[in-house]
Amino acid sequence: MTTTTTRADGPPRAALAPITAVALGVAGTASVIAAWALVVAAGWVSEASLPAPWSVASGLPRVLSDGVFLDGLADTLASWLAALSIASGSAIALGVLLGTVPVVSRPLMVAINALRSIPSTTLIPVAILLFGLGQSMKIAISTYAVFPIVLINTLYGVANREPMRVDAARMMHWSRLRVYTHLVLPSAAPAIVTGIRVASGISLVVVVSAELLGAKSGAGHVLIRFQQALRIDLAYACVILIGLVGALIYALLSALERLTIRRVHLV
Amino acid sequence: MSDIIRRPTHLAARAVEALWVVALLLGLWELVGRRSHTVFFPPFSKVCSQFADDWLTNRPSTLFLTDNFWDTVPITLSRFARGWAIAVVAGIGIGVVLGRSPIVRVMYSPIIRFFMSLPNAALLPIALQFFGLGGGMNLFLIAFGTVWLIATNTADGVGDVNDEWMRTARSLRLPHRTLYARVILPAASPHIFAGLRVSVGFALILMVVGEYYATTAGLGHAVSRFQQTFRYTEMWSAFLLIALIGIVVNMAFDAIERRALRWQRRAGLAEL
Repeated sequence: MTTTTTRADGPPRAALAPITAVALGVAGTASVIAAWALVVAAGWVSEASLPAPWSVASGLPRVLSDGVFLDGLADTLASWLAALSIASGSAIALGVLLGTVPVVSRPLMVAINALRSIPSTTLIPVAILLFGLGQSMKIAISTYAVFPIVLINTLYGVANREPMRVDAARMMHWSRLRVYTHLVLPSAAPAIVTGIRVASGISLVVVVSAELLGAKSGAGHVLIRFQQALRIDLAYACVILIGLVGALIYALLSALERLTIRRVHLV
Repeated sequence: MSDIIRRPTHLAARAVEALWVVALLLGLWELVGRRSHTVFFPPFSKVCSQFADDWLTNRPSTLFLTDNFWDTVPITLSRFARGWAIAVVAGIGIGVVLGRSPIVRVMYSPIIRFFMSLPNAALLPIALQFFGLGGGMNLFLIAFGTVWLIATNTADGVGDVNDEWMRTARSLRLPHRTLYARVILPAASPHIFAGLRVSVGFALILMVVGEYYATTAGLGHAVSRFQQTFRYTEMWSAFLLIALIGIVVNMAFDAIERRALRWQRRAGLAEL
């Protein structure tokens, strides 16, 4: 959700050397961990709520070598990927097809905006009733959660296609198929990729929520079991690992987004 | 979007034009609900009449809403409002600090990135351990889940204030407070609003999850009670209420955003 900002006027601020940036990042992170250690050492919170950084750190290898967590994580990521591909695939297809027809796309936008306002996690109990406690429930609820996001971005991208290119394509008597594949889809691509990036984060949140609220497998389920077994240090270790996976996914998709935007601008 | 198509001028025609997809979806729900004989998926009309029974009365003294409504909804909404308010104040504060100092920003961006990518629901078991079964857990979840989004957007806005404006402000020797109140924050407001808008959606999601997971009152709690006691039509009527709350909150935000950014040509996502 961060927007890259370029200074149009005024002297550009001297950019930090990458090595300095990394060093500063490490220092900042270290200061947060130091504050955490201080809070624990001073005894401001009970060890049962917030274990010390070192006990969480020593829990990390245990969680990783256990196998249960890794299996859960694989399950979570498989659900996440399935939901994201189903939702993106159908939303892009629908958006590209309907986005060029204003009579349909405008009321569709109203419906999607209403749908988007409904907190998706509301439907987890229904998904449990309809799909059981397995993986299909997680995929269903997460697909429902991110479909509107990708669709909105696709509709938006299609609506903002360059009018001159549309005229040019008409002048060259392009076939409908060619117009869709060579004009509509590429011009909507940056907006679509942004939508997928936002959707990927939300999809992961929803999958993990579903695991906490009922599903019988996945990283969230393992996390709950640690908490119920009062191994709060291992629960923290799980949270940190899940967060790192989230950050990794985000970094990959941001890179993909930059690549797409650059490619489209070259064309 | 496209202005080439002539828009109907009559109000009713405009409403039909804008809402026919919504009507179609509701009709589809009705049809599927009637055809399938599962108790889990009642038709829309049945949910509506249940909704009227559950939440609406004909007593003007309680604003035509049932006691049941007044027992659950204010609790949920106040958690949402308090949690989100904490996030807004803290997020804008943190964002201003990050935006004004590039070094601080570089230092803390990895950890903020980590907090943002953390699926917030994963914090639930930990928050439960920390705050127990009270409302504090819900507040924490909503506030922590949205504060970083607001902070990074604020930082983007604050870091991007037009240099000429800053130089002008400096040569006018504006006192610090005026500089922030009259130049930096207004200039950053479109970015700040973009962050707030996304965070509202997140806050609603987290509000519901937190109440499902562990609480003793509120709408999410009502839903999980209905589910556990097999009262599925009541459960759907509670969903409908949550959906309406979500839509109303988003519409209210649209209105505020449009009013607050009126001076800007670009009115944020509300234009979309």
